[in-house]
Amino acid sequence: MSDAGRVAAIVDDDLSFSASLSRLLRGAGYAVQTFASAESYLAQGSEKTACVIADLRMPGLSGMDLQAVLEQQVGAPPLIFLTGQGDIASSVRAMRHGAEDFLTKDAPKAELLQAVERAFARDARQRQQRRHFQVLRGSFDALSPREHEVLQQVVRGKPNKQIAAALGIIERTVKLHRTAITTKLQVRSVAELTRLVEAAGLFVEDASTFPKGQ
Amino acid sequence: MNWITIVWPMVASACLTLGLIELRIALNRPLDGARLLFSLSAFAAAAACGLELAMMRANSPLQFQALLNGFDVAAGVVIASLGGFVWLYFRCGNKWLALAGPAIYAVGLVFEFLPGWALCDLTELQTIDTFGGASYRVAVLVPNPLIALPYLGVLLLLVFVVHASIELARRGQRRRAAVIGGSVVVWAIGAGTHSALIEVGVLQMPYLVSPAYLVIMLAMAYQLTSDVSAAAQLGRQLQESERRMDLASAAAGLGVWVWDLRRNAVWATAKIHSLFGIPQSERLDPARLIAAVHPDDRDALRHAVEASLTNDRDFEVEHRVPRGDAAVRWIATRGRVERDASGSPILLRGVALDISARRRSELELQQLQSQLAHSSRVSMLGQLSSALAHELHQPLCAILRNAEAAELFLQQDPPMLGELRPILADIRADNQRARDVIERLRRLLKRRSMASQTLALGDLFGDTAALTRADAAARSIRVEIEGGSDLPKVQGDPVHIQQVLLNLVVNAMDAIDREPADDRWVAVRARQHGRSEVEVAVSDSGHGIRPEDLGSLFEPFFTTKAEGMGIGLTIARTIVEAHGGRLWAENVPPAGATFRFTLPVAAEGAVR
Repeated sequence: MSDAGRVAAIVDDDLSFSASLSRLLRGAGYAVQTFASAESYLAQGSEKTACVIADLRMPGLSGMDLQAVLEQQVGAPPLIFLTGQGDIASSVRAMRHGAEDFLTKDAPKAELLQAVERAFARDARQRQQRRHFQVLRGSFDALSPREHEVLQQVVRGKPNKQIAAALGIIERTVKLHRTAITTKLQVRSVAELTRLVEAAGLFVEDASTFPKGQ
Repeated sequence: MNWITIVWPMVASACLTLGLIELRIALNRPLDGARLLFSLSAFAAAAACGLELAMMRANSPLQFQALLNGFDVAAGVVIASLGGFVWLYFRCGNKWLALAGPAIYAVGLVFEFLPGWALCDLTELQTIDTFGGASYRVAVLVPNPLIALPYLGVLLLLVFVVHASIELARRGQRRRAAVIGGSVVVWAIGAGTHSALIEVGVLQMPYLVSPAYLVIMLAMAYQLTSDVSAAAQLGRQLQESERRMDLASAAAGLGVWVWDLRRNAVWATAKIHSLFGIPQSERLDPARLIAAVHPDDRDALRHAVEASLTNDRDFEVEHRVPRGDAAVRWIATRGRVERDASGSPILLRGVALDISARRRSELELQQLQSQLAHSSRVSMLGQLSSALAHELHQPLCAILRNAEAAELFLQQDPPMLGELRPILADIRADNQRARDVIERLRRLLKRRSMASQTLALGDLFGDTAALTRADAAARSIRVEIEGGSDLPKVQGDPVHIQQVLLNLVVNAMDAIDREPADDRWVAVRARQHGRSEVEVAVSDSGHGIRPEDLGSLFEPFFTTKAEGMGIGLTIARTIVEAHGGRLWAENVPPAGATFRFTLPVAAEGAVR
């Protein structure tokens, strides 16, 4: 997705400040949506959001609360915190939970725009990875259930003899499955196959969740 | 010249003398009816005395008869006036009995003057020699039964007097009953019996009605002397009590004044002159006193006096009296109206007191209190300072961002000038927002004394909300401030009432800060309380005040907070009470603590 379609979401109960920041970002070439509370962002925020710029201190859900909710979602955009005064404890916590940046509301313009730029870039990266991941997942979907079982054993580095014993089939059948797998996934070596499986996040304990902290 | 011609005139002159004395006393204002009647009886006795003497020297039965008729009239007047005197003097006895005696006597007299009905026939005169070479004439009388009528009248008088005397004695005035009642009874029995014996022919003697009257005269003279000495004693006591009052009023610094409304004259003690700064030699009148009062206070004093005259209540005014130097003396003048029987005011009586010292210390106390209130405000704002800094920071940040955005719009090619107009409007609005924050702070931080004015609670509430918003957000406490705008205006000092409100809201937030964070709120509500008051309630979602703390909450230096001074609520209560309101706390479920205070509705507001 290109920059043109993506928006920066400003979440701040201070309407005057959020209007001014919205103008600055528009002046810098971003599309912007403003929300008066974390609740309204969660209800109305669009898929196109590339970056959430949230006030730390808000009535109702605070910036931190919003972060906690977003953490649970797949494909949540990067978060930049804005605060009236620097608050070290909050900033440490926010950064540990993966915030893109933590800035005061009167931070230098360059710093602010850089943070937004970084967030957009990271969002673009994350979207790219998600797309790539989906393609990978798609190609793995072409494998039969038995081929999946064989693949699982292969990437664990087990020799064919052991795989055959574990699955209760003969070694030759294992070889046939392996050929089918490499053909379907278009890989030439076991090392390449292992990288592919890792990238697709297969065979980890909770394969359905997108890996965190990238 | 014999003893008879000496004794009877002496008796007559004694009667006249006492009669004149009593008449003089009776004519003193107010008119004394009892003494007037007594003097009449004394004059009648004097007349009877003269007639008795003339009868003793009568030359013919016809002359004797004429004199006797006159004598009977005089005796009747004595009887009637004595009866009336006893009735008025004792203020008791039977009225009908008092009237019956003279009435029956009068009927007897009517018969005496009717030709052919004379009470007794007079046949001849006899001359009787007595001791000392004196001689007198007596008549030989043949009475008819009608003679009983006058004696019946005397008897009724006797009964009336005895009855009235007993009643008076029962009421505790034994001496008066014995002396006056006794003397009248002795006279009536003595003179009556003696006359009756003469007229039935048992005694051949002259009438002794007037000499017998001497008994009454002695009794009255005795009564008069004791009255005079009692009056002298009263006078001495009065003087003594006046001296005591002078001493007391001088010691207390009190000036005493009396304003006679009928003559529009003022009597006052010397202290009044010195309190009002008027030379002792100058004569006082109401206008002079008012003129001595400070020009700004004259109307208040006049109104108070007029109100007192119409509604019959005591008045008290504290007013200034300019002194020679630029300073003023504070005087409290108090007064009371006195009315006559018909209810119209006749005089104002009152005192004046120098209260300058009290005023000074009140002023000092007020200054101290406002200093204390100021330091409490400063400390409270200190507590709110980080939140308020945020409140100020917010518009400044918005201004910065707007300016930066404007720069970016100008750098575009072509420059996006259309974007600039809303940006400039917002910058202006944010500048105003920041100024409002500073102005609110400046108002609260300024050191000032209390100045009452008419104010809308709605405006105050707006400021309270603005000042506490940031702090409440930081502590994630919901502060709901409602009402106020539809209520009548109140009378008060905006800064001090704002201080009370802030203090209660900040206290409430502190109280629930220690509670779990699920649903924390502070609510400020206002409602009209009766016609003359508005009540403001600040309640919170906390656990309320511990019952053992409820009593000491408003005591100075009582605090449950680690960093608290314990003077906030004390000052808040002082402020509210200085406004004529009350401030109290209670636990009202489902809320935690509720603090309520009342403020008086401003005069215009109360009229609606």
